[in-house]
Amino acid sequence: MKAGRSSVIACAMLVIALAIAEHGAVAQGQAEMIKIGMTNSFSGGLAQAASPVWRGVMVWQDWVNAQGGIMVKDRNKKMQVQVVYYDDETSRENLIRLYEKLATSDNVDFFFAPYGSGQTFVVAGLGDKYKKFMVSTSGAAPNIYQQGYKYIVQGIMQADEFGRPYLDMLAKVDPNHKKIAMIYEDHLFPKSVATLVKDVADKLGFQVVLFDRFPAGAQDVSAVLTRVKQLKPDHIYFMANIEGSIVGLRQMSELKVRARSIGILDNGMYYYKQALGGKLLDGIMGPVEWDMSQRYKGITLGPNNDEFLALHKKRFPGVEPDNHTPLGTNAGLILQRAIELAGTLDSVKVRAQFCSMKLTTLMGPQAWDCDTGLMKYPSEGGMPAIVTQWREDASTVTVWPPEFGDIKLLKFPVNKF
Amino acid sequence: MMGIRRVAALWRRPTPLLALAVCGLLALVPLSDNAEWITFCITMMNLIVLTYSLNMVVGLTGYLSFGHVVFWGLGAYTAGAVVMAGGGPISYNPYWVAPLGGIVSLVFAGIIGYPTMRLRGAYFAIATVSINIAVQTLFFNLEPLGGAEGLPLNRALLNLADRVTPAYYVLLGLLFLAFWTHYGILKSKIGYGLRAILNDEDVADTMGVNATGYKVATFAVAAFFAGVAGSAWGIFQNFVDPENFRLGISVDLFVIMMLGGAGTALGPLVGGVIYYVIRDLLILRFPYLHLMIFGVVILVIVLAFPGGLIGTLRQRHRGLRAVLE
Amino acid sequence: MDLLLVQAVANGLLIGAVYGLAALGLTLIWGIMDVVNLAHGEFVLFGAYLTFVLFSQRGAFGGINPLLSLLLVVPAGLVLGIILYRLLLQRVVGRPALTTLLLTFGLSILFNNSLLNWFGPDVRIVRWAQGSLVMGGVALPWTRLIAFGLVVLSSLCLFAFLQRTYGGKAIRAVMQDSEAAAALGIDTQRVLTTAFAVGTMLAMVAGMLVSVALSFSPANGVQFSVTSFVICVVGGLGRPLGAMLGGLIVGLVESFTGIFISQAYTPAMVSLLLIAFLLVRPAGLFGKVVR
Repeated sequence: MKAGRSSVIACAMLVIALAIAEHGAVAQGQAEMIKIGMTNSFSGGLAQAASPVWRGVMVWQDWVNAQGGIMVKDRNKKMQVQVVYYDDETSRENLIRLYEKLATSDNVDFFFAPYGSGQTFVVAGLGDKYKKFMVSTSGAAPNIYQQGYKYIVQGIMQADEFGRPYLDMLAKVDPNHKKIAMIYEDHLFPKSVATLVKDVADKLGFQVVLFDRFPAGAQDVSAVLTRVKQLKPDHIYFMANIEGSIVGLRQMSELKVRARSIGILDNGMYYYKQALGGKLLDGIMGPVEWDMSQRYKGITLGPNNDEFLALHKKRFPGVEPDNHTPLGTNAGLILQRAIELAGTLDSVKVRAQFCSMKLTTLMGPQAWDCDTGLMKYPSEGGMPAIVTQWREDASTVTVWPPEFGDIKLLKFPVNKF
Repeated sequence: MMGIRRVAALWRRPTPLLALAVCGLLALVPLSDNAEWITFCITMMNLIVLTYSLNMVVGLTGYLSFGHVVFWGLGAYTAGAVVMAGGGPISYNPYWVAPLGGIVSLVFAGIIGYPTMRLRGAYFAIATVSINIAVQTLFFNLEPLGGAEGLPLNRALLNLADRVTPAYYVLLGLLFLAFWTHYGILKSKIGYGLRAILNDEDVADTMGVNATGYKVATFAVAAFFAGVAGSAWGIFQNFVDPENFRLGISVDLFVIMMLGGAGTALGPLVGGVIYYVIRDLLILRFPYLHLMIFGVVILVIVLAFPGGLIGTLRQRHRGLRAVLE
Repeated sequence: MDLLLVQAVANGLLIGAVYGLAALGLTLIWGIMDVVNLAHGEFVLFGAYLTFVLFSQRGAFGGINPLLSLLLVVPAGLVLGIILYRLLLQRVVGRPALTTLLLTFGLSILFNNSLLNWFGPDVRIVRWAQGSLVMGGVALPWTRLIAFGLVVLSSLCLFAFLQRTYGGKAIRAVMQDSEAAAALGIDTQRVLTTAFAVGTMLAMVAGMLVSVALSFSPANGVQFSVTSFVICVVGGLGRPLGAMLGGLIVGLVESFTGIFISQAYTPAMVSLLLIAFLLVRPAGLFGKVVR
């Protein structure tokens, strides 16, 4: 197999050559920059969900650098930002290894957490370990911040806050129909939302006729939907990752599962539009962190929705931002404000700012609990989750909460399918 | 089993000396206090130990244990359960906890070994895979041990010295032990028996080799190593979850084993180092393309180097046969 | 309660048929050349993506009805199978199982990540023939009914091929005893190539059905492979009828577990089914008992 052997050698030389070449490109002896390290799941199970948030971070990098950078008082100058990133392949071992590399040989100043509660949980302790402040972009599960870590802060609303607006709205809008079926995907995020939100449902007086789950990543949920159909609930709360929700909605329409309203998580994402089309989606509603139709007033830092969209188009032509992309931008903005207020890059002082800092970005008003770093509830000035509803033309409108949405736009009862 | 004199005689052979040299180098790494290198080496050693474990089954008995990672996962959860049970610092000491993980895996392997090793070839492989999936599903639903979200172990112990260094040395010691076990089996009477089974099980049976006993025993011993590694890893990571049963890990092990040379004593060591170094290089340099390149690399290895590195070197350079086993 | 039972049976049979077709390709290849194709799931994905691309394109060559796209999917599958066999698999037939497993694993990684890089991780659906036929309270999605029909048709075609044509009979001969077949003048290499081509084609046709009746993304590749493996064991290697029946059985087990217990336990039940077969009857329903 002489041919085989030389091809192996050729391959090996190619890999080595590329490795050397890349090394030259990566090593940037730039003038002093603020380095922020993170990983993104470019591949693996969370690839679809994670990359938009990373893109949001990149958009923030562009925005802040276009302004000259972040003003660091104790160095008497504005410093530009460099986000150093790697692919974590949605693998725990890679996460730890890569964050440690970022902390040591890349010597970053701060971290952004990886995507999602599960992955954030894995690296949350590394902020404390290396004494580098970490902002989580999408770690909604409260238990991450209840571990006693001192170097992490939540850049998104808490998981129970995320799930409850749909129920709050139903309780207000449809008080005489309380039978609800709650189905969730047996995976970190939907599961944590579901378990927290069940208590909310009980407290609001709902009658939970079914609280069941299906395996993560299941392609066929006909079985659990058939059970739901048989129970004839007033409302269905279908809590899953995006893929699961796509499958669920599709099969609800096929099996003719009918209710007065149907709620899904992360409503309004363009993937639904892409896979299912406006006609099927018409009337479906649910909570989401942000929507293009949601325009907060009184933004104190950062781009507004339109500016954000323009920046995204410039950096990533041909790719649409989704409802999670601003989370990445927001994480950068809150870090930026904290650095500006602290006047230094010292992680302890930056973290201390979150005890009193309040600001409003395109993701809304935000405030934090000093001790844990948890995002406060909207009633205390923290980031709100909103409820949006689809229209037949595949656009979305924000209908709840009353301070930020327009309940008059709500189409109810939906009576699908 | 093996006479002490025979063991002593083996020390002077080149292969063990090579292994000793590598282990010696690895032993020096924690002294550098460089967290990145330490994590790199721990992860690499973990893979190598697991590959030795797999190598014992596949290389020595010929059975394709595709669900092999189940033993590693069981070890990890044993550590999790012990830490949860509490009882002070001893419950958190890898030197004590890790062997427990090994025992759990050993027993489990013994139990499933008898019925499944009646199956041949791909059937055995599929059986191990479904056992793996079944165990994973069990832990997914086991709320007391964290369920789908996993179990954080002890958040207070972030200090390198308390947690990482002992785990490091456990894995290093395990690596050396695994090498010796494999090498010892290869060279001993047991090894002859296993080779006989590998060649033709029925003939071996007729000739008085207790085929089932040998197979299951090897399987159980291999599982022991995987279990200890799993416990050490669980403590190092400070976290256990059902991802510790991820099927993809088993597949990685097969690749490493093939790369080094299935059945050889140095194969897992050499294969593990090369694989992990290349994989790491690829991830850092090519955030977008590394997996595709990896796929191509596998194809090339399978087609050009079927005996793995050690196997091919032995084939082409007869002189090296004594050195590389 | 009766209605639930009927819906459970209907769900199980309809999805089981698609599973069965997917496994058909695998069992053929596995049965004849003892190659466990770990890239099988990716072949299914190829078929799904091809249908999807043809369906979603705008312009002259766009908006093609998935049924019509079969005219392209079938030859594409055959050609792909021939190329892969001649180029790669031919070299490893007869080598230890480990070698072929790793080869197909490498292919699976390569193909899966190529799809991931090209199409992205998004979940896709071919939005065609929406809606359901509702009979007496039981909802039967049109896509799945059509898929069922196609599976029946494909099975009949395959049966005819294997029983009536020279090529098919040659395949069966080689599957029974390759040495005897060679002694009788059958060109074994040609037969193996044909078998691999047909197996790949069947997987891609199953992919087309998946694109219409289910949903897909690169992440689903493994799932298709695993389910197909289970069905092959249950049905018996190299037994098309076994694969079909195995598919229906798995479909029913999934459906009944999901409706009457909970869908959370479906993977465990399917695993148990597999383990049961492996322990009690490893040859499967129709396979010969091999020592």
